[in-house]
Amino acid sequence: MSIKTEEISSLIKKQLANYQDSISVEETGTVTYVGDGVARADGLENAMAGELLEFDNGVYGMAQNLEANNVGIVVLGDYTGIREGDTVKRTGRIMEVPVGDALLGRVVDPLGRPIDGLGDIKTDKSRPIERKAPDVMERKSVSEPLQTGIKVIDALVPIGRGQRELIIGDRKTGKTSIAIDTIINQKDQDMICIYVAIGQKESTVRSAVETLRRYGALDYTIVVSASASNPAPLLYIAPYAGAAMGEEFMYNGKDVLIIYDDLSKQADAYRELSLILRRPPGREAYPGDIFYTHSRLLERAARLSDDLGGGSMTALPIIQTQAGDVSAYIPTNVISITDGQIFLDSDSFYAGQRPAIDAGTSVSRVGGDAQVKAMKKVSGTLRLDIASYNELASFAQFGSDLDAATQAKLARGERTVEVLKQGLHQPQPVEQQVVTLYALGHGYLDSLPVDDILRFESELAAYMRANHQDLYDQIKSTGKLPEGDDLDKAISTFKDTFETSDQKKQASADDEADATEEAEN
Amino acid sequence: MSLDKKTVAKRYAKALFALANTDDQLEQTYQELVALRTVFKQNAGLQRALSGTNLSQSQKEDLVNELKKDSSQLVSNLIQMVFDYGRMDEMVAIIDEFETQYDQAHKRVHADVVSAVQLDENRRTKLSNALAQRLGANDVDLNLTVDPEIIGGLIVKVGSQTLDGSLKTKLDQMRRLLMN
Repeated sequence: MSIKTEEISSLIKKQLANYQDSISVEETGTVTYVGDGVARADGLENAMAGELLEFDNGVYGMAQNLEANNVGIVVLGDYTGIREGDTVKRTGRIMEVPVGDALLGRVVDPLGRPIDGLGDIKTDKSRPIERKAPDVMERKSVSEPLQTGIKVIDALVPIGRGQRELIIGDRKTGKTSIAIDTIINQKDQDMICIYVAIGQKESTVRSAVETLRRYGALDYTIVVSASASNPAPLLYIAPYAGAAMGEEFMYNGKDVLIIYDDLSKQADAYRELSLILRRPPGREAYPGDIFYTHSRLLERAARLSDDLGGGSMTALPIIQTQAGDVSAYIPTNVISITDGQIFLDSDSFYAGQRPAIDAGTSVSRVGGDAQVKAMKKVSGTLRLDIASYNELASFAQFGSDLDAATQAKLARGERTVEVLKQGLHQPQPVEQQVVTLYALGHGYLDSLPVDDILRFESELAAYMRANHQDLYDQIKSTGKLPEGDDLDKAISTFKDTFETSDQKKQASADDEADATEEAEN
Repeated sequence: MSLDKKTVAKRYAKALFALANTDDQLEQTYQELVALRTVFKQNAGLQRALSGTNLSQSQKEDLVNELKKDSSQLVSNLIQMVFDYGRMDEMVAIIDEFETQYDQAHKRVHADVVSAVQLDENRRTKLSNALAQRLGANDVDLNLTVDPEIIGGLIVKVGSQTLDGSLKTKLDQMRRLLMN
């Protein structure tokens, strides 16, 4: 084959004749003020609210306040390089983030840029960070459970797919641990997880990422991090960016779990931003639309109707309280927006009850419909038991003589509280939880010393897996308790072989005694 | 909340423009204001002296009278009023605003043109004709500056619109395209 020079040159000639060097036409403004992460610019008469703007040095900003003479811009990045008199360009785009499968297993900033040093994220899809939540007809009621793997939550405050469940508590009460454990438990559940870290220490985020990696949970997780060193605007948009990434999966029919850790910091960042933009402060100096910032975010969590693919996005927002004060502005706002809350209590945390969930004040408004039948059965009276135990326990402290019924109630309560304890990063599958709670509810634990309960629980699980995997499978597949007395038989067989620590000590003492006796003889 | 410069300037300019328009003194007023602005621009300290506290009231009044001396009734009234209301700081802004309104009425545009080399007469007319056509204006007032930094081409700024055909911007764009 020969190259047809003539033909090619004539083609090029034709193209050259039509080639027109286009000049860029842009609408620009001039920066008149810059500081504290906010800039004001003259001009930009046609800028839209929320539009992405570009400064001279390539830093992006978002148009926030459109006023008569100028535009208030939040700077999404380093504002120290911006000078008075610089030009700002309109981009005509609303703020977007890259979305898609390529983000899985990555750590990104709120603009979707990788910060884990693993190279570019190759995706051509993007979504606007602000999007209207699905409306009434696009939704379906919550009916499928989301297993957190944490006994006390799955039993008492069950969470359904598409629900918004608030995790609230003081600092250092294990809020993040619950979130991380929930992500870890989603392994092999066909669930996409998004962890949005807002205003946290870089080291904390790093260790969370490491934990996820260690438990193999990072493969199905996106971490969006706006750490404490980022300017307030990035903290403010981080949850919306995370929600946009989640929506991409949700609208493709997948189930998504998104964790906002935490929204009090986002509220603080937005307050900072609004005050610098000179919006009037309201209660606790938060701006007037602080409720809307959270409600429109959490409303994006949904269970989509079958027409839209039936995907879901479950949101677990986290709120930090000060000294257990849930009546502060932000906590009350978010409590009223969400479908229930998990309340963590610092007193019980330090008393050794971990996870330190307050069974009395924690509720789930919609998750009950989604709870597995078997779990519903075994956990039915749990809440009442705990409540009456707490009441009795404070009464019994006076040390007066108690009748047998009261003592039995106290013993049961003590064991209930003990059973609900669970180690860090040790989520349990639902069938194991059901069997444990079944054993508790049917009095198998009543005769055991409290100190042996947790050991009994783990050994029972090991025994069940080894000898009665069929029962586990049955609970898992049907969601119901096995018919007949198979489960009872299994548990009582195990219990007969179980040695309490006292018996063990006795046994080893006997052995020793035998040994000395033998030696003497 | 005190009003910002621009809002104040807009109000004064609007009133002045309306008044000059009904009295058919638009052209004259405009010329006088442009001259006044030149005075202010040439004497950088004047605006500050008139609005500051370094001079006594009588000294300031002398200065104001000097400014008013050769101007028409309308402009002299403006100067006096602006001075009385302690808005001398906004004088230049008021004149700028007035100019904007004047331009709008006469379909005239101001274009800041940055070029790499000095433009000759021929090119200037060409440019202003092309701009007039593009922007639908009767008259284009070119404000030319030379900046070798842009290497080649032109940057034209009209109001809040920027037409950028400079070589530097293109190279920057190329660099960004290659870097990302």
